[in-house]
Amino acid sequence: MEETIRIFALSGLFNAIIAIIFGLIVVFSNWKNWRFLLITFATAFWSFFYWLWLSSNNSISALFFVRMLSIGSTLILPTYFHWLSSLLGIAEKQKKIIILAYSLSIIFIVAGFSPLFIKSVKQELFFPFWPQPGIIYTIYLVGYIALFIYSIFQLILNYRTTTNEVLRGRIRYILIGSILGLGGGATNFFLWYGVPIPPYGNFLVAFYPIVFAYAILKYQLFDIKIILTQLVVFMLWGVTLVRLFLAKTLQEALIEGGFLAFLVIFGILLIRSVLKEVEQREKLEVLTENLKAANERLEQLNKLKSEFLSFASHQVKSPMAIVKGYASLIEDGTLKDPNEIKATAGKIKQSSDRLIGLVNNFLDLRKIEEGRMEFNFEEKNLVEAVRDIVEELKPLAQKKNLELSFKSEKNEIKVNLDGQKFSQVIQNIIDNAIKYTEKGWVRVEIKTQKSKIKDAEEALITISDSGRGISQELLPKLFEQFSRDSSVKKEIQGTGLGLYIAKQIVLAHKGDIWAESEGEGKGSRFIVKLPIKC
Amino acid sequence: MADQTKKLIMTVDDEEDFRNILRIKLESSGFSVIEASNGKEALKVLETNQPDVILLDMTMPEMGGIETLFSIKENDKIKNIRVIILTGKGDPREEVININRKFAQESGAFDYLRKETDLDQIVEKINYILKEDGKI
Repeated sequence: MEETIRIFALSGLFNAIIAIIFGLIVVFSNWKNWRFLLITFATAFWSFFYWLWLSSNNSISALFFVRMLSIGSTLILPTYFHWLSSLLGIAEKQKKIIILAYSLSIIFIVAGFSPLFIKSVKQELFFPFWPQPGIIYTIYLVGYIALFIYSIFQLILNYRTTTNEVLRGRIRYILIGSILGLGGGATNFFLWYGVPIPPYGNFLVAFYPIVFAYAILKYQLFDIKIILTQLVVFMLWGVTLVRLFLAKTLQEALIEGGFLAFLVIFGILLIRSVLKEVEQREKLEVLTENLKAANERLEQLNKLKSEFLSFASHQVKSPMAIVKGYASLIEDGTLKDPNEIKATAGKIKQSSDRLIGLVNNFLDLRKIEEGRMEFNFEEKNLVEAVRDIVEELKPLAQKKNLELSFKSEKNEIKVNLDGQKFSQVIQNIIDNAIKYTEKGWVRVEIKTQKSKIKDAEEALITISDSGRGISQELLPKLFEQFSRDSSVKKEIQGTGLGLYIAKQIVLAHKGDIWAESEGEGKGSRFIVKLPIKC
Repeated sequence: MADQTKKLIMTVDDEEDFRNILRIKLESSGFSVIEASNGKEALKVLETNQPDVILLDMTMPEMGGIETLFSIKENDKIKNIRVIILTGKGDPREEVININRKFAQESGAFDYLRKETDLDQIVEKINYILKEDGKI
């Protein structure tokens, strides 16, 4: 029986050494992986005292060592979950659970030396000094299982939702490592509660540092060469260190010490040179990746450009055909009456204006899409700016016998404006209101109200009309780029770009724009919201 | 009402200006003209009118050109009226126009022209059809 116990004890020592080695390898490869060192240290701590505990020959030292090993074991799951969350990129979201897990661990560690955690040790199966759980230990066990299940759940959830292939590959390995290693370690719990199953799973514990390390390194483009070099160097250091401790005479100790010093220097140089070589190769790979990405981006831009070109030429064709048609009516002598010719020239001018408007829209659109629309913000009086536009458009409204009115709560409202671009937005909306209203009125009104942000105010510019209104179907799509939506396209004259551009301009002013309408034939309201400068 | 001796041409287009241009040109070329601004309206007008040739736009609200063409060809009373598709949309390259023309003709249209075509050519095409039908 003693032989069996020794094998179990050695499994602890083996696990401790493996955990330390792989923890160091991973952290050496990249300091960003420091969280991984926490798990391997907790595991090594636990495993090391596990070895001492099963090697004890009296109940007092066994009880001490089993309490020491519990310090390590209570930290394994919190450190595991901490590392896992950061790897999955959910650490921020899971912050509360991480903090809770660590806090509970601290409570368990503090309680670790009281009988509430471990009552005593007594014979279980062939183990002479197996610990007996107190009430707090049972709480710890429940927490352990709960956090383990939650971790597995998060792994599976992220495996399903992520599109990142590297992360998916990592999760696969981590799932295997978690179930084998942490599950294996959990077989220790049976005997605590008198279930006569020896902790065979303990031999599997070493799996998780290895598998996790592999999962991290495999996808880090990290070279197996480095891992092997480090492994050999660390093992040499370990062996020499043991020999130094085992030295019987001073002379022997000096020789071993000298040899160890030589090995440390030689080892560090060796690891460094291998690291450098691999780093350079990695840099090259990164460069290639970047080049590939840049190329893809260029291709995408190119596609966007040709799509835009085809869209723009479609839009331009119709007014061009009209210009050509009217011009040829004059040219081929179909129209002879000077008055008719004059009227037709007016129509050519109108179509040309439409063309110019279209081209301006396209230029704006391209600027927006390429993110290079520039704004010159200045502090301006909003009331004055809007009133000027209304005055300018009054003749247009009078032509259609529409009443165009302006009203403002205050005489001065200071806002940050790019005067030209903002005027374009308001003019566009009032223009539309006049265009789509056959009879009645168009009203422009400015009000102020408290903003959702504390102590701030905002201005609301409302342009309402008694015109044809907007269908419920069209309302939500009004500010989109119609070039992409054929169902709406045919309902709208022109490019359908005006409101899209208007929205982008208002958003750049940190404001918002939306439309309301009770339905077709019931008029419509356009509202522009702007933050007021205090 | 339309002069009985003049041939009747129907233009279907949502673009008012373009209908205007066609009307002026066609009237000065000796035709009577009736108009519709989309396919639905056109079918309604066709219930009481029997034009000799229809100039049909493709992209229109409510009912587009192809749908209108199918409806005309399914209706025994008007299916023999000659239809010329007149479009501003689509790819202007020759090979694409040929494919579209073939499709339009297989769907029952007589021809497929683009809006930037010279107005004289459109008139010529109408005269050609009327001659072929023995109407002039």
